[in-house]
Amino acid sequence: LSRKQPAPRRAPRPGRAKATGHHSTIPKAHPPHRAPIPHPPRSHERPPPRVAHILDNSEASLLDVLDNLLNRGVMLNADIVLALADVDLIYLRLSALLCAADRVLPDDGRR
Amino acid sequence: MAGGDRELYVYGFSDPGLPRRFRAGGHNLRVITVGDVEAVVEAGHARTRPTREALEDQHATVADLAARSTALLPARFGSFVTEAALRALIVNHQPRLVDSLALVRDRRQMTVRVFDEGPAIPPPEAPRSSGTAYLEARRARLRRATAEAEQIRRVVNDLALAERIEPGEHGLRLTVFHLVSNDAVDTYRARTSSLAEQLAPHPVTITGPWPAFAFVPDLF
Repeated sequence: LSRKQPAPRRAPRPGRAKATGHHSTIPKAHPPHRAPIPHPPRSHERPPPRVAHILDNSEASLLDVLDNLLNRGVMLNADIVLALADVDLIYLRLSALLCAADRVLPDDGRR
Repeated sequence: MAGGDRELYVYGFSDPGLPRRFRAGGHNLRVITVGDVEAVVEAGHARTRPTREALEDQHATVADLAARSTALLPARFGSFVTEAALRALIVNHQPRLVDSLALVRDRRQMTVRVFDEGPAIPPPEAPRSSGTAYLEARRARLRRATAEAEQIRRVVNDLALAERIEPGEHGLRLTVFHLVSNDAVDTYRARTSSLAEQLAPHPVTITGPWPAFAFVPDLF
């Protein structure tokens, strides 16, 4: 009796974004081992700081982009027209925030 | 759709002082001023899914805007709104926006991430029992992250003007966002370089400076 008629230029659909391998934000491997730098021994010296390289630059950049832009959710926008016998009857504009609850609600404010 | 109902894409809210119209990040932007707040918008922005290209494009544009403004509050990805609704939103939230702009003025976000040692642990099977177990696990991660963030805070205590902690998962233990004065960014980097040693064996990364993405109030 009614039909949903999504407008052609409609909202981002994050749920359908493809999760390809290079989008992963998870470190995939051990930090690469580095050859020790020759160093004169000194008895009072502290051990050299452990420098961890677990992400290459592009992965680190992508992780920041994802964190910065998606961490607090995305806005979904949609227009829906309910029609009967090809007569448009109801226009519904939706604007919704899709986000993990703990990103927007205070931690102690939940049920 | 009438001209007044034409939807604008909102990039962020800024201190007054930006030109009325300008180009940034390859986009033709304009500024809508309401009181002490300016909204940076684009008309005719294509609606796109949050693909890698779209996200990187918005990130670069916001970074460009932040470099031009003394204070910028980036909007959420996908924020389309009519001009009338945008003006109403700014009027209704003016005090909160002004306070938030004051918080981020002449400051940048730095991001510290602490990872699990070793290879990424594959995510466990989702518990079949209930969502409660899942939520309790999330709470436990938050408690652990809060404790570990304390170690980081001790290193940058006088530099971090605001802090947000996000518990991680799947190999990422936690992420800590700090708001740091522009002129303290180098000092922050120098101080946090010792974290790799202090938090060993957990690998640590420090990134930034970024616009203050993590310190934006939830408006819409």
